[in-house]
Amino acid sequence: MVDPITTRRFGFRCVFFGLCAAIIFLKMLPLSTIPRSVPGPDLLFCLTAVWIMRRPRWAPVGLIVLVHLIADVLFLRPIGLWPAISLLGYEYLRRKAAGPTEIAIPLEVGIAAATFAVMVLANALFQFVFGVGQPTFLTLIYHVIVTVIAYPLMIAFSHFVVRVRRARPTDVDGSGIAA
Amino acid sequence: MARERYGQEEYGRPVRRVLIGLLVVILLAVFGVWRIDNPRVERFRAAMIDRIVPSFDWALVPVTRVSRMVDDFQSYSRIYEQNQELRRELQQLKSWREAALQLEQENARLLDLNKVRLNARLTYVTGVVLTDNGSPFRRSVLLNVGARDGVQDGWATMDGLGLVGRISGVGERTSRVILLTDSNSRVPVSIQPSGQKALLIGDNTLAPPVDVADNLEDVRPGDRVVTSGDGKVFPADILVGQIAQGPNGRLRVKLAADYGRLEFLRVLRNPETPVIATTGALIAPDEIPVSAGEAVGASDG
Repeated sequence: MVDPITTRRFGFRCVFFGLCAAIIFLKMLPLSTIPRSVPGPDLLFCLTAVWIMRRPRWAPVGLIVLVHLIADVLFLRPIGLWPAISLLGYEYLRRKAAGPTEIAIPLEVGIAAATFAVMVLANALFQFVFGVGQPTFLTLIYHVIVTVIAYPLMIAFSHFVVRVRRARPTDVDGSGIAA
Repeated sequence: MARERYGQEEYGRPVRRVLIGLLVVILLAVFGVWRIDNPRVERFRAAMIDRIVPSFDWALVPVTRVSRMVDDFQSYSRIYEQNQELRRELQQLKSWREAALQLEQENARLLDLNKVRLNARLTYVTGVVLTDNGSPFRRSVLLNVGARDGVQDGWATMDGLGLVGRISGVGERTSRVILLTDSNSRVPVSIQPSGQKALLIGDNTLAPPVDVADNLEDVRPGDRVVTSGDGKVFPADILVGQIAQGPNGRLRVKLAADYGRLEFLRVLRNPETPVIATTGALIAPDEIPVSAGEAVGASDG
């Protein structure tokens, strides 16, 4: 006898992991090896942030760290730095989302954008201090901008396709407290 | 029930905060280890990629093929223009072929006169590109040949025509090629016909800049760029590309390899490649007199 809330939560955690794996997989396809001046968006951040802002329990810390570590290893990034920084960023978002008032979407995009920019900056700073080679400042700015553009799309995808929506007060008896 | 959960939440919050802090510290420690003991962690990374990526092989190959087919299909719309273009190029090539044949004969005669033998040790093993690396800031690809096929760190990789990159990270079944366009790539080259030595510096663009060592005036756009073989990084005289002048006057290299379509790559066997096992070994042996531990022991004794 497993209660339905737990089952559903477990199911959506699996979905979260699957989507992250799909993103990593897509990024690794050797479709174009030409370097472009504008880098692609950080979809992993978009997905995680969107889920945290809606259903924090469906994106647990352990899973997030695991996925980001795998991405670090596969993407040839310094191992451990980005997961550490992004974990702090995600915790900040989690606390914002847990507040009593609902956050309107434009405000949410703003918060996510600011958080991501700070994360990227902190990452670059760390890499600079520890003498890890890094891309130019302009590329980083492009990266932030592209990610911010992708963020609302990820909201739409999560809302309409995966049906990850904020728990409403009316949901409480149906799917538990803040599910 | 509800109250109990909320109660847990209130109680759990500081504990949670401590746990998160601990996790961050652990992750930063991992980063520290990566920074300090880089070769070992990179070997671990290669081994892990070696485990993960080939298991996705069944999906990687078809998806890549299909998307390339879509690309090819789009190019059908331009097929007439392409045909015209190809005809023109064919005409030009015919004249070049004539010239090449004459030169080949001349070359053969001269080689015969000189009793020159080409380096027979430069054989190669061909690998298929499995994956790109996902990061937008790094340029590398993963090949499906690895230690099993005798691939070693540091070997040069080329497509049919020109140099593509350098092996860095070898797993049992896979190996990673850092492309010339990666911002960490540095390759000693020489510019023909003037013979100037230069360093090709990857900067995440398709045409990496070159730092010419001495005489800038001798280098002109259109000059051939080949590897110089300095520092025993690469065998000498592999074609890299042509000099071109960037918009701000900086000399760049138009790479000969077709970076749009890296599919099959040749890994040149180079038995003389020095093995870099530790960070210390990056410095030439004669520059490190005694290691720290031994030095302490020596002063004690």
